[in-house]
Amino acid sequence: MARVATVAFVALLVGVVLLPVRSFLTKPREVIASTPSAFTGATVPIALADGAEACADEILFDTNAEVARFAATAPAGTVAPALEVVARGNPEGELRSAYVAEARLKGGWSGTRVLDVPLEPPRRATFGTFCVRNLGSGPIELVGNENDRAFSRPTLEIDGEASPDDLPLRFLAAEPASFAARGGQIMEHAATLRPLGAWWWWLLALAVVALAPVAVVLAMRSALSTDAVLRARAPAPVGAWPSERLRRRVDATPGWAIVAAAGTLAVLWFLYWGVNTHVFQFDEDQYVYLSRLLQDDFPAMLWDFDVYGRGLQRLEVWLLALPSFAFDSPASLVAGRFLNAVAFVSTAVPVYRLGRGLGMTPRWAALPAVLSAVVPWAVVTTAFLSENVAYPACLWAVWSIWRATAAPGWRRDLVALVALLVAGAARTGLLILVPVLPAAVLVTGLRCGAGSVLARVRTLLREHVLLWVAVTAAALPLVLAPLGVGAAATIRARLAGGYTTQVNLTAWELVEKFGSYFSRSVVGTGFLAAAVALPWLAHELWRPRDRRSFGFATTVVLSALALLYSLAPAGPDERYILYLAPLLLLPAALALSRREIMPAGLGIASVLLAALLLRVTWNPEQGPFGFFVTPVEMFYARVLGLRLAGYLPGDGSDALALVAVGLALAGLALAVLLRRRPEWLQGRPAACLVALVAAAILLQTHYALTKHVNGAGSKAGAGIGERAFVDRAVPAGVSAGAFLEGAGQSPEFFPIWQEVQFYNEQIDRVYALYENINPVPPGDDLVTGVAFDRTGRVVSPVPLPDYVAIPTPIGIARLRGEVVSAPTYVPVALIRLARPARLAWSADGFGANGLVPDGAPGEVRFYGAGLPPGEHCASYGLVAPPAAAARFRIVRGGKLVERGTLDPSATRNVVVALPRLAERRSIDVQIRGTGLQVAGISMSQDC
Amino acid sequence: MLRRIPRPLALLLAVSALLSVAWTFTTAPLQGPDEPAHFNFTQHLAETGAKPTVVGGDHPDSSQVFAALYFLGLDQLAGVSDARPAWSAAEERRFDDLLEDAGEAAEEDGAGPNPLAKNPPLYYAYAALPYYVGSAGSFWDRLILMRLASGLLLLATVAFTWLAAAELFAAAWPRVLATGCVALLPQMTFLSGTINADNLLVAAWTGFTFVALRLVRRGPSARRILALCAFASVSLLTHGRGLPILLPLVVALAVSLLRARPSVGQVVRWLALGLGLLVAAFGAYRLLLAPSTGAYGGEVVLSPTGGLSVSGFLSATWQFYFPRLPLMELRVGPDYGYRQVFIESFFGKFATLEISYPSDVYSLIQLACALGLAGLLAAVAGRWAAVRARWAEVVVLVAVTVSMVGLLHVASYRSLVGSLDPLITGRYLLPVVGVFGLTVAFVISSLRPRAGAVTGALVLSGLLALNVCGLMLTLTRFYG
Repeated sequence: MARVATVAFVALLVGVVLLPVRSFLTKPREVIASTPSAFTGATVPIALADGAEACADEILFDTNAEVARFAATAPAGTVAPALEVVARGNPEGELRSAYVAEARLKGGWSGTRVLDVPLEPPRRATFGTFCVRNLGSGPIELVGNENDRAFSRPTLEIDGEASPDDLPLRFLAAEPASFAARGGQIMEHAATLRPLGAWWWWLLALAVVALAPVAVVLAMRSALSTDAVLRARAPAPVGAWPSERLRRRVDATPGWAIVAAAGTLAVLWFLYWGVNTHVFQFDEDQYVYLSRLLQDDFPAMLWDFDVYGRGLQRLEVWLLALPSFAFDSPASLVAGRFLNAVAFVSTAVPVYRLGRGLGMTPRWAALPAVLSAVVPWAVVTTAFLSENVAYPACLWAVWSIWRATAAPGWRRDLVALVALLVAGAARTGLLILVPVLPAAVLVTGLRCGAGSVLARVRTLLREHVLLWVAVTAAALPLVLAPLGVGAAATIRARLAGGYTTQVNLTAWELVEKFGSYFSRSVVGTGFLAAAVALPWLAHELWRPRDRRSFGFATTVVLSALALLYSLAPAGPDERYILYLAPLLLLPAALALSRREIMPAGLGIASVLLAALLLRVTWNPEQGPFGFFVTPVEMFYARVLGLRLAGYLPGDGSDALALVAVGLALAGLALAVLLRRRPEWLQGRPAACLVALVAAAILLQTHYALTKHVNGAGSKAGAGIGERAFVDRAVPAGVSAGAFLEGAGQSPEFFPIWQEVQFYNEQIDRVYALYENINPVPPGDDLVTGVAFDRTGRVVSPVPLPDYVAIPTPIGIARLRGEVVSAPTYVPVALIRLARPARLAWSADGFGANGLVPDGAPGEVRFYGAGLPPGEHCASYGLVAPPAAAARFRIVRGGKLVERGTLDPSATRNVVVALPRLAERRSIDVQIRGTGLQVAGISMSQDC
Repeated sequence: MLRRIPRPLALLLAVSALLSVAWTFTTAPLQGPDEPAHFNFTQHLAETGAKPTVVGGDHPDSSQVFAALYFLGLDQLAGVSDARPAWSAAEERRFDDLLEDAGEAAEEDGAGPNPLAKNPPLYYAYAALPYYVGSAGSFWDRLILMRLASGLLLLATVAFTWLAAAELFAAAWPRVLATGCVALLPQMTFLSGTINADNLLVAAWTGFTFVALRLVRRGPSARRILALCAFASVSLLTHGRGLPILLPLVVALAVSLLRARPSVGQVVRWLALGLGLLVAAFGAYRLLLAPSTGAYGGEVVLSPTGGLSVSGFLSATWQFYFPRLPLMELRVGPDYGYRQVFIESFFGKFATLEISYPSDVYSLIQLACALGLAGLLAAVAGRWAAVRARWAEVVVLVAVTVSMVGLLHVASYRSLVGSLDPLITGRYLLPVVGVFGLTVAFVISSLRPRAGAVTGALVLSGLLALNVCGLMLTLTRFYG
């Protein structure tokens, strides 16, 4: 035991030394000679006028100070002048030196630059001054910092006058070098300010690296040896837990309970990430809108093929309609995420049933079932997409097809047909599985049936009457449509929607595409699963052991081919090949549980699959949604490629080549062991390998979820609750509207309305001032032609509701009402309309985002009708541009009432009195300015 | 006497001593957590016999320390990864000349304001001994000797952990595991290479843990209770964070007395000496040595602050460990919680927290800890009968942990409400490092012997690897 512990101890240390430590010590880096002045406080500019000189004293010029580094900025709109840099030793004092080094830097650049100035270093370390002189005709600013958090030794003087700030300055050696190459120098540095010399450091390092591990190993071995003696004397192991009772309980746990427990954890896991995802993608909004529409138009919408346009596919919409019917947002969206996670994880059920049906023990069957529920593509549970329901539906279809092949009977055929219909309703593309059913039944019947071929055919016809009738019925549209039978074409179009399986690729291109898809499945399921599954499937097809296994292998292979074929016109999204994962995991687990892994097959498959991984391309840069679209590729290319490349010579593709070769070798090694020393792989080693595959899958899933949700998923952004600001503020059952005017009618605003509509279910009407431009969610009522008269009264074909979401940028017309909610993350506010519906003000002449055009006024008309008597005033929120000051003038009724200037980036609230507004019909106010933006206008009586 | 030290303990003491010395020399001068202030406190106490003040005075640092910080770039060095200290002989010579010119007055003028003057003086009195010894040498000799004295406290902590493990485990392997987890913990060995009052606090708490376990296991006696109260007194006289030791003290006494069921007279005889020592120590500090601004500060501010609520505390504490629940308000302050405190700065963040392992390493540690916690649950369930039979020891260990962690959460909550500063760091958990070691040993010894041996070896190997890598990172950060 002590030996095993020692091996484990040493192995980990050696692993750490070989990979990260070696890489850390041998990586070339900049060599810092000294840092006279580092960060001590906030960054400040140090202005250097024409001909001015900045000098820092008490600088130590070391013998390897070959480059001086500092930063400078050319003021906005100018280019940098030439600079002269002089390093000079102190002419007086005990450490005086005649050292002088000079350099000139060309000007002509703009912005901020870090300047590396080559200098001739002194022969011995020298104290002196470091000066920078402005040689040009324009000013320049050195990047300095304040003496705040800390102080540095040099004092900076500008033309002889002490500056309160520092010039961050660093000296470097000319050439980079690794820490390993500079060991002696580092030890010399460390010996400074210490009682002992560099020799002590070497001694200490040696002792820590060599003696400490030896001492710990000796302590371990001593204790383990002592305990071994104690254990030999006492019958019960010292300190080991009495685990038999627990073991019995674990053994007694049924397989379904393991699946249920693991599934529950998986649902919670996915729900956490789903709820923290704060973006939605193309299609998601459509599903959500349609699920709301379904309630309004129930039950007709259930089978409406025209609004939807995706053929039979509609299960996700139905699923989302359930919480949408029961709750408003955000509860409905959270519940939708929950249902999606449950649906996705429920894939474990058909996989478990398949395993059990194939004779696996409950606990063995639980293994592929649980792994199928936590594959890396589970990242789709963070989106309202059809894969969440299509995944289990597909596996139910596969299960039912297999049942029809394994034990013929009309009931099983019926179940299979229903399962295929459900799969099609979950995702139209899964209709490709329909031909798999008769094909698998036919192949299995012919291969495994009894009697002559004719007898087998007769048996097939007799045992699957219902299936053949259904096949004939399904084939009719396919046959009749090309003949011009309208109804048949309509049926086919309605079932398939806009999807097509037409292939415009050559055979080789198709193979390459399949290979690319399949490589993701191989990596996503932990490589070894595919290396075990493929030879097992091939063997079952070639020499079937029994009808059930042959039927299963046939179903799996035909289904996989059909699914791959259907993807020929599809994009690279990995979620399309999600369904292949259980089709690899299940045969692998079956082969393992039955001890039917073939050594030769494992070896060959490992090499071929590794060759596939080498052949296909792996791109680590796929944009912000890469972790969602291609989670396995991102993991493989980034974690195994880029990260490993940090520790190994070469780049990411070299590292991936090594990984593929390593996987091939691992597979070959296992094959050899299986062939020559199978007993070595029994028991715990086998369990460790299974755990390794499971860990590889879980790690990829965790990686995809965290990377996607923390990144593109905006986990840190506004939460679902904040985004559902309308539904949270509007009483339950009350409808709200969206009022599109001004900026709110621009195409740029469309994503914002999409965002608001997606998260807020109670907005079901859209009112457009005059004409509408932007699309409106399906199911929402669109009211165009809304207008207002001279008194500000709103004229609408349909009355505005009490609660209206409005765009907050200055537009054309601002409805009068109390602001109920104004989230900070979108320029939209929810108001409760004052009755009768009127405008607070209307505006004209403003540019986008409330910009006041130079030379022309932005005019605002404030309406008084309906206001209570008394004081009224308007408040203008003014913003100056970042690079320049902004002037403004505000004129009311021809009289100047306010003027001023804002510094760059400054904001100011200017209040303009609106005398006797309630008694007058309206008051006009004009604002003029240069570079001025009016961020908002509000009215109040609190003047 | 030496012959009676078990071989594994002797070896682990040797390793921890070696690591402590390595950290002592590797960490650049005055770059330990608040090390200039700790040094100033000690120097002022040693030179003048008086504590510095919290708010008064006009020299936060003595002229010697100020010269070192300013002239040798040690002030700007703290927390700035790309800065380097002075490392040329010319600078060292100039500095020596400066000190010589300044004379002895430069050692005595660091009267304050020193933020650490709020601390009780026991550690600084202890550190004054190596300071005196080092007076024969240079400024740097003193600094090194004071750091090495902190290393002695690490050895005491390691030895106490072994003794505590011996109270719980009959086998030697769990003792090695428990002690190894303390002796090889990078944050622990790093801290022992700096001048910091936490070193004495950690030793006191670990010693207290050992005596408390012995008390509840073997029953009360006047000597044991005196020893227990002595450790508690050391804790109270070392740091404000030593105050929560009163809770496990009460628990340990109550449990041991409940189990022993002595007469009232016996109880009085047992408690008199120990409690007398405790009251005397606390009273002497409170009345004679405490600063005018209050007996303790920092994490133990006794004055009330507005805006606090029980629900707010529970919410903040929940969100420290777990994602926010729907009904909870968003926790104020930065994104700072379990990982930052229990993983990153407990296992190892060095110098002024700017030296850290790569994020992946912390993720691995976090994963290992998660497995360990799951293993703890499984071990408790699997060995429930044994755990129940040792309830007294479990209660003591839980009390020790809860008192310290509870104080830190309360302090953090108070600070967040007032200043958005979470205040706490993993170093503050080190007083319960002994409990950490014992827990690891319990979980691993619950595995089958072979698996336990391999897992334990991996744990010790991992900690040693972290330690060596930490030293490497620190050496190259300061001198590379």
